[in-house]
Amino acid sequence: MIRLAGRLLPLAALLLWEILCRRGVIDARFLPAPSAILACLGAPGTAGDLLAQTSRTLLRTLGGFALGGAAGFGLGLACGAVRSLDAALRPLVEILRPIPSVAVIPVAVLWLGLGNSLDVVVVAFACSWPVFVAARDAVHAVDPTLCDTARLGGLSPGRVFRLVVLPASLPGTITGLRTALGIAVAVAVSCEMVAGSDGLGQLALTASYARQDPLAWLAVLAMGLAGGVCALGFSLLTRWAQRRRPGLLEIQPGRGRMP
Amino acid sequence: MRLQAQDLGLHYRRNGATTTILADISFTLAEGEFLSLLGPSGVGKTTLLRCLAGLVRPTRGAVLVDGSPLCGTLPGAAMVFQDYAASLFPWRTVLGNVRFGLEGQKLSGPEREALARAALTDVGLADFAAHHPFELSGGMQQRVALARAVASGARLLLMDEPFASVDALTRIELEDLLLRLWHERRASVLFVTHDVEEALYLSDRVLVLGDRPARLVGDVPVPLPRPREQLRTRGDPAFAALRGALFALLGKGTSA
Repeated sequence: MIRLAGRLLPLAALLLWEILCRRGVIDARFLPAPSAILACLGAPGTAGDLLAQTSRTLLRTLGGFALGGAAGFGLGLACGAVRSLDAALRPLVEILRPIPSVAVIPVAVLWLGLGNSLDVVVVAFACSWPVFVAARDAVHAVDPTLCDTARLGGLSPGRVFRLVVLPASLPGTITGLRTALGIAVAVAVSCEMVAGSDGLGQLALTASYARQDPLAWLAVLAMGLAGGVCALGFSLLTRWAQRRRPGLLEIQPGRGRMP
Repeated sequence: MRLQAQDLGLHYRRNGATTTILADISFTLAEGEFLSLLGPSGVGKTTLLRCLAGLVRPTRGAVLVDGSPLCGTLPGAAMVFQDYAASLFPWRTVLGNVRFGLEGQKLSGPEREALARAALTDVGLADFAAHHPFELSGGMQQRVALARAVASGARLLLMDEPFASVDALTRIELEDLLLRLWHERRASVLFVTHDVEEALYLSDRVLVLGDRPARLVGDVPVPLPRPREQLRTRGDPAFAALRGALFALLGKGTSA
């Protein structure tokens, strides 16, 4: 019941918005009605253009997410497993991590020029940190009891890592990936606005400058929808994994450390 | 296997101050013996067990296995922990968990499977092979941990208060299961506990650990007849006498 209500909530919000506009409570010069926004899809070429820009933004989002996620995952696992590496890299990481991703654009442009690779790299930069931190901390949090069991069983450090540490740290890492995916959409759009020539970010910006209010709103709604689709896809993927390997993604309750 | 602790000591330094955890611990665990380490909570029993297993390197003395010094982890040993839920792999089935004990050994897949299934049958969980640990009760999870330990063909079971977090009835069942497995598999057992009666009921010999730093304060043989039975053994006058002796060694004999 609650779930159904939750799914209907966006529709209800749209309906309320429409009613408030029709009643004149909201001035259409500031906020066009949803029907007006959707109506501009009817203009020749708009629907196709919106689809093309959305797919460009999604491609940059997912490309950057894949690249940054993989980098953060690998480096996070390495820093989690090797304490000395973590200690050595920590100052550098703490300096790089707070840099806003949009601030990377001016210097990244010097290397990559304008275009897709710039957006993908900036998105990857933004995505790598939450995954890195989550993976590193998840490895640190693996219960030593599990590792002791494996070590006494005669497993080499490599196999202890592969058979115990990697699966045990997965739930924590997944949380980092989920966070990074949300960031990816936002950063991809900001990149398009600051240094792009197409994509939803650029579409929203140009429409706004041209006072095509409904089109600007349409682009913004499409961003939300694109993010929602990404999150849904991620959920479905983890649920599928959970069905295939029960217990794998179960977050284990926190436990006391061995002395 | 014969396991010997020779003047074991462990201390660590923090902010210039040295804290000693283990001091001058020497004893021998004979082949096939059931030996208990009895001591109050927080005394360092777990640390001693981890030293003997080669998971922690002692700062003094040595661990000898059949006469030669141990380097690396103790071969042919398996550990059973108090926190059974933390020691089982949640992403593996019950069978997968038991098979894990065999993954460090050069065996074929079917051989591993057969040994794991045999161990599961031994602990009475043959029907739960395909379940996951979180679907089982605490007592059953600890049975899985026991099965994993014996499936590996361990010559020595290191047990760290394994029955301290299950209810009293389950505990009695698990104690008798352990005695049966020990008898059938002819392994040695080093059993850490803070429970005087449990130590007496199970063991051939009880070593009593004193407080801060942990050191041996008593070595008490338990000549109670085997096979042991919960009611008969615990009702034996000799059992009561030994219990008094152990309490005295722990310094809890008299009400202060």
